[in-house]
Amino acid sequence: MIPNLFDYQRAASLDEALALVGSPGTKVIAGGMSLLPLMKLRLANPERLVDIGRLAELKGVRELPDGRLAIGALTTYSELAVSPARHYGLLGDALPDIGDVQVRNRGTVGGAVAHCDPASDLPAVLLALDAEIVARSKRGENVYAADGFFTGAFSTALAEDELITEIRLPGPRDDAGSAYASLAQRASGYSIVGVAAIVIKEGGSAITKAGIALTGVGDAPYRAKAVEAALIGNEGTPESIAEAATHASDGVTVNGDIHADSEYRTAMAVAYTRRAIAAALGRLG
Amino acid sequence: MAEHMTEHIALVVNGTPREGDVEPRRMLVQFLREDLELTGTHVGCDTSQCGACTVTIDGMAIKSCTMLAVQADGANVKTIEGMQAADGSLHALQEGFWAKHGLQCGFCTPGMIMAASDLLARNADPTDDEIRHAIEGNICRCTGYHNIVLAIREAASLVRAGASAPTPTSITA
Repeated sequence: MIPNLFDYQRAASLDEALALVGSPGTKVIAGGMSLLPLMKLRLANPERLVDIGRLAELKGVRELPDGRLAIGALTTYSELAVSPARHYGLLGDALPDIGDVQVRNRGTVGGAVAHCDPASDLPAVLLALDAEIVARSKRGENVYAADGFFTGAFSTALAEDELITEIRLPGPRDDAGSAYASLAQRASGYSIVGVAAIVIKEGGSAITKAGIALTGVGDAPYRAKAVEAALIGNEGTPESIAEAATHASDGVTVNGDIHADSEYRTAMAVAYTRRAIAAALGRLG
Repeated sequence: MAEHMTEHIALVVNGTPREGDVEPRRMLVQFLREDLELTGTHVGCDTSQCGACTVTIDGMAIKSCTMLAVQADGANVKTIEGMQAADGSLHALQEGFWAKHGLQCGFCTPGMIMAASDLLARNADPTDDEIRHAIEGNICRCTGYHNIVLAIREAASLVRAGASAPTPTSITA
């Protein structure tokens, strides 16, 4: 399978890339793990590819002075897995099961966020963590909250002329526990249901903050705010976790396909939400 | 369509500098197989699922059916042809696949070996679970994977016992 003809331009600098992003018929390529298969199937037929893969300023993971973690958009899954990001329990859970080693060696964090596959694991992790998505354009810098960024299947709040440059995670904290639990489709490995959970106990024995996000279930990854609300003030008994998890797909039109109809997916959303919360609490000790 | 230019690329393949002029849409696997005539790298599914086209770039396994040749400009590529030593002696992984009968038809073998070389570079003593996880992106329709796991485990023990990591063979097409 051979893509349609296109022109190719390798950006030598971020400014050069930003001058091209958003012009008609132009697509940005980084690792190409999502875009190239679509182009080979001729489901995507860009007239021009702008290759940002060599932009050193978009690579690497660094700790910010305030303790937050800044992940360059071109950081691959493999690089992320050996970076300080692996110490976030939910990322440590999710990363080894994304794609396969060849995909993790090429696929980038920024690419996954911009592509927004409805079954992608990373967006759920970023939603639960309250991550920030930093974008640049010729107009300047724009910082998006993860909550609200993922607007639909393969659709985000990113403007046409914007390029994701960095993902920022809140600093790690001792009073937080997190986990990622997913039910993968056996052949493809894609998540039928994936749940990212973070629970925080500030001082006492009760949960004071919670971030719960699901992928694979709806049109786009989403925050399960009814689950979060039910967890606040909760001591985390098995019964109370199970009750909170029943709200996993409240207000969401649940997907159905040949792998999992909507009734089964709804049930699995509840089950894996319960497991992710229990695992997150278990890590809190 | 004359307005579409070709791109000049220069890369190192199995230790030898190689160059070519390619359409931007040319995949790395086509460049390796058709332009450089290194046909040991196979095309199985051509949809980045089967892993038969796996080669390494700077030691990292990638699927060459899902990487543009222009993206590999300047890269250090190794294919199955580069695994044996200059004197023709087999790499530990090739020895392992031979000794443990890690193949039947052999179609997936080059990709399996290149994926396994990525694993052994990161993990000198992998468990069976780690081996199976590392070849998750490679499909074999013959063996049921059991002997492939044994072969990679055998290779790991050969390397630990001091099998020398061979220098890449020079290939001149």
